[in-house]
Amino acid sequence: MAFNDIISGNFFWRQNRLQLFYLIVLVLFIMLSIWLSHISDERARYTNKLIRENRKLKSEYVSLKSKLMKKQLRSEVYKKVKDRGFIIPKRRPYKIVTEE
Amino acid sequence: MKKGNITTRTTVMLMLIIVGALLILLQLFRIQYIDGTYYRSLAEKYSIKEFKVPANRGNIYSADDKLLAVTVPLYKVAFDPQVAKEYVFNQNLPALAKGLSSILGESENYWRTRLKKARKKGSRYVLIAKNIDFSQFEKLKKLPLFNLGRYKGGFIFESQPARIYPFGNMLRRTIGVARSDIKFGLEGAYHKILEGKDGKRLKQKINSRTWKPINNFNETEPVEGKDLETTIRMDFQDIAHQALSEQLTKFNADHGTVIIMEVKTGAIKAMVNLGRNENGNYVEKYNYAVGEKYEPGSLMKTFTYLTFFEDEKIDTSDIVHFQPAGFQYYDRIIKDSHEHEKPGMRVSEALALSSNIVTVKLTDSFYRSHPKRFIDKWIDMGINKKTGFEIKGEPEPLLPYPSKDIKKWKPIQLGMISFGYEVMLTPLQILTLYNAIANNGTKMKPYLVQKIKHNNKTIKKIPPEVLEKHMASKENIKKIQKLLRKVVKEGTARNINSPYVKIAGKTGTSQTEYWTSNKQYIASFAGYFPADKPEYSMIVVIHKPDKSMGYYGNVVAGKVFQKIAEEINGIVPREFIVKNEK
Repeated sequence: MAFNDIISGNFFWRQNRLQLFYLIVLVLFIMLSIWLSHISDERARYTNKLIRENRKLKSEYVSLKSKLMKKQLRSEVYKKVKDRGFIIPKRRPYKIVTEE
Repeated sequence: MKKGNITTRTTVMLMLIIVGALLILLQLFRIQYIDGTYYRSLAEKYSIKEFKVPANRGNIYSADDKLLAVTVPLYKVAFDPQVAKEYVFNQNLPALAKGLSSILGESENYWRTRLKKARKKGSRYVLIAKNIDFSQFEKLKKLPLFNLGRYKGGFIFESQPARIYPFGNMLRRTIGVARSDIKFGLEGAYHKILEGKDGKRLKQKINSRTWKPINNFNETEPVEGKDLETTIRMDFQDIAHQALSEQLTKFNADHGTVIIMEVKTGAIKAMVNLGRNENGNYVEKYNYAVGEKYEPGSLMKTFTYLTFFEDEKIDTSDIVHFQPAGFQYYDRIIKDSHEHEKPGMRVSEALALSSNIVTVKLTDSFYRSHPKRFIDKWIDMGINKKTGFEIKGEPEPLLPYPSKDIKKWKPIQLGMISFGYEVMLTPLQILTLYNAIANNGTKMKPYLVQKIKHNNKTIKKIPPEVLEKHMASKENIKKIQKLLRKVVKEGTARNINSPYVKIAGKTGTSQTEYWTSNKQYIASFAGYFPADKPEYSMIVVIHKPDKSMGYYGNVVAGKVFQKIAEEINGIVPREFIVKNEK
């Protein structure tokens, strides 16, 4: 195929008939390529968003768990309940274990 | 105008245009071909970049699944007061100041004045808070004006990953730190396991804020750090921390330490190190338990009597006669803390009442001509050996060895060593020895990490390690166990004889800075509980209590031991087995 044929678009013509099928396939491929590129960009943005969200949620979890752990400390619980007549147990508790 | 002039001018103009065009073409040729490689690499450099994929540092957990150290983002929040319009700023300022005051402290007026001044001065960056956690950040983000965002409200923030310790100062020295300039504690000892390995990923810039990965995979995958599960029980740690802190405050002492160990395994269940800071508060400032050796005084008498029994020099019921006023030993007079009424006592009483006179007299009479036999026995028991604890900073114990060289060994040292002077050990090394007595003579290696985990699955279990199967004969260990119980029942520590839990142990009151005019004391108590079936061993050491308030081991350290032992007794259940009959 000569250079002039490509420039003038003659390669779309064979035996005086327009090769529409090839033209459509070519356009479809171009559109598919653009679409996939957009999807890829979208995924990248979505992944970054999820990573940020994951960090936020982890941070929130640790922040809440830290507060809860501190509140669960025996000394903290005792401070809250000692005025209500609760005392620190010193006698050994029993754990009932059943055996077959 | 002449025709010739016009033709000349047109030709000149044409020539200039052609020259200009040629210059542009030449420049294009230079950019495309001569400097093409350089510009192409420059374009690649700015649009494709290698990003570090940071590995998550592993967490540190307690044995009861509490988070001791974790990496999370911390936030720095700032404010640009010039961004909001005048009426928006003025309208929202009171509510913003109120919110800031309730979240970060300071008065509403403080915030209102500060932000107003900054706007007036034309300042574009006012630091609001740094190193705040997620929950505080979320609250700040929702405040009036801040909720309008960066471009309408002037809310600026950045986040940085930071290592946080949810229990604050508690256990701080044991957990430690791993920075590029300093590493200590568990963070330092297990840095290689915790840190993981960063990965790499190539990304392409797709807009000013977003970089898109070139491939669907990382060029180098990050290797996440592993988690550590320690042997620490936070309920024990809390009890010990509070008890020591209260006693240090009560006696206005300089510093102190408590270590609790599981008898059968050597697992450390709590390790508290509190020292007074410049504000007079007690905080974890140095790991005294691991790194500070001192002359333990009477705590070492336990091993002196064990040596007598091992060498079959004497038995518990034998009676020793002495001068109650004191025992002349070389150029010194050895005295007891309280003068005894009778000039004789049984060996069992000598240990229970912690008699310096009897201890030195017996040591001198048995080993004066063969001091090496005595010291060799202590070496056999491992008193001169490090425990090999995983945290850095454990010093070598000091135990002088008899020598003919007067610079290395003076004969008086034998007697001094027998009651705990001239010999130096750390609290952890002493506890390891007492734990061996509680464990019928088997010396266990103290340890802090019991599991290495990844994604909640155990990948390595660290088993207990035996340092010495038999520190002494079982028979003699039993004798010492009985004597240690007697110390608490009838001896120097009868003030801590608990009705709830049987305690066995030994008091120690040693002098320090005795070479100065201001002699100070170190009060110690080492032992275990329950005495008849030992589960936990413990040592309490308190340095430099206020002498006017008390300094004896039984009062200053013993009371802390009793409090901790009783409270732990109240939470560790005893199994009550019920037969289920069908």
